[in-house]
Amino acid sequence: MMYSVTSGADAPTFEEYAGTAWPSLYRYAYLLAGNHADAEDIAQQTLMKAYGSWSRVKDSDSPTAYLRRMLTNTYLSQRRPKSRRLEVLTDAPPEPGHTSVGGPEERMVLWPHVKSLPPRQRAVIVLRYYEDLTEQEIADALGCSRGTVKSTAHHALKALRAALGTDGRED
Amino acid sequence: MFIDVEETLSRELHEVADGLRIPAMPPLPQKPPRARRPWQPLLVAAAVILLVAGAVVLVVTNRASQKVEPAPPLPSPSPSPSPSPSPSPTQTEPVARIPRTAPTVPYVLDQRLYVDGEQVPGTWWSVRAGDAGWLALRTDNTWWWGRGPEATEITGLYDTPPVISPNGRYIAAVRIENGKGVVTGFDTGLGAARAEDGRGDATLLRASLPEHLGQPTMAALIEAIHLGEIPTERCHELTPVLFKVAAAGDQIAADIVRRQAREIVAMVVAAMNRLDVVGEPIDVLLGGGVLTAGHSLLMDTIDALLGKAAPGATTRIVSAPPIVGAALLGLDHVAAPEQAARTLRRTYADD
Repeated sequence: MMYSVTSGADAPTFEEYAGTAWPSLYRYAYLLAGNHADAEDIAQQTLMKAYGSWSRVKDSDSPTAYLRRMLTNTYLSQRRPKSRRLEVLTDAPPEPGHTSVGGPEERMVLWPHVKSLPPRQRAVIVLRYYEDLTEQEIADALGCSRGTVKSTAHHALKALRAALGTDGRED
Repeated sequence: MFIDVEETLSRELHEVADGLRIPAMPPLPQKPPRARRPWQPLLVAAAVILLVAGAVVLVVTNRASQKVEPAPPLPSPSPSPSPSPSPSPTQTEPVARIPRTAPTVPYVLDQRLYVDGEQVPGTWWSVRAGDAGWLALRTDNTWWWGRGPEATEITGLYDTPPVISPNGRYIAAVRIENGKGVVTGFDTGLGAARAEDGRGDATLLRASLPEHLGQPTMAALIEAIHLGEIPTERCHELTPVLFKVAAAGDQIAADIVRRQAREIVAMVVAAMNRLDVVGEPIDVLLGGGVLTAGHSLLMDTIDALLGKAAPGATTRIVSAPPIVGAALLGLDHVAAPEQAARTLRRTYADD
């Protein structure tokens, strides 16, 4: 999960903070983007933005939440169409939808479908089930109302259930 | 089949996240962002490439331009006002005195043209002159040029009168396009031509230039180019000939190459002045066919001159086409892996 940093007189420098935050930022970015190249891209852009406004970030109530919001916005504002978004420059063949190296991802039933959700739905799902945020926190990260979070989550779950071909559990 | 979607989601997302191989954090700025000016070397490079392209045209057009002379002979480095390039005894006298001697510049009087005190045959409307030559319009509306009393007709059709450069060395054919004058050709006393007609020192160019394009003499070559019988593209073939002759020790050719080096350095220094980077350690990227060919006389002269004018500058030869630089910037922007840049360079290196 996201690290927490005590604020106050011993506020960390940006370098310290970035070093600590990088793994969790990267994990979150990967869950949103679905591939390493874009994840690295998004996480790095987020750090660059944070660097640019570090004084504001470090004085905020929670730098963690601040960066999470930045990263979410970075991800959502990438308006490249999905087909283009997958055309990334890598030094290796692009990751297939299902990783073929026999990792745990192969057995997963929902993750592949999460990857095909629209960005906002996907962000809500990741924030709710990975970051374990409350609806209010998700609303803050996305910059929308709790009602929107609720309905987005509802649509996302419905899509996932439909994709599974099961009725799942009724809300 | 019953699956708790929410529980599965939570589990799988954590599994994915925990199974990730986290790459090293990319380098982040360590210091407050310096006023990096990454476009500067690019601008210099662009300027130089433009210059070289233009310079190639110049070299080709004047491929055998006359021997470079250290322009107007200045008397020793004394700061006193230098005498006019064509001094005459009367000029040292007070301006109020009207000289009584014959003009030393070409002039037309009563439709008679006088050059160097001799009358040029024919009847003339007007003459314009520089130090080294003159250009005159005869009453039959033909244009003639010369360097002494000998007149040479300018052949070819001119919609617009030709013009003479202030130093009188070049006659340019001009066309008016959209209100702007466009130089369409030169007619000039060329180094090789000077050698041929005896005005200048001997140069191997006199034989090698016409020979390369299958012309018997310099005069024939000039005529063929002037009349468009030899396409402009083929003139570019003369540049390597020039370098070869220069490398073989021909003084006239070497002078032309050194003049080229001076032009390039002048352009580089001008670009650096505009960017205010003279004296700073900076890479000067030189590109274009002539520079990448690595002619030692040209490169050595450039390095020597640039070393004096801008001690901090280091010349680098860029053989990759400009598009590679643009693509590399793009790759940097998307933080592409090193391998992508290598692939890019390799692709263009093959061309």
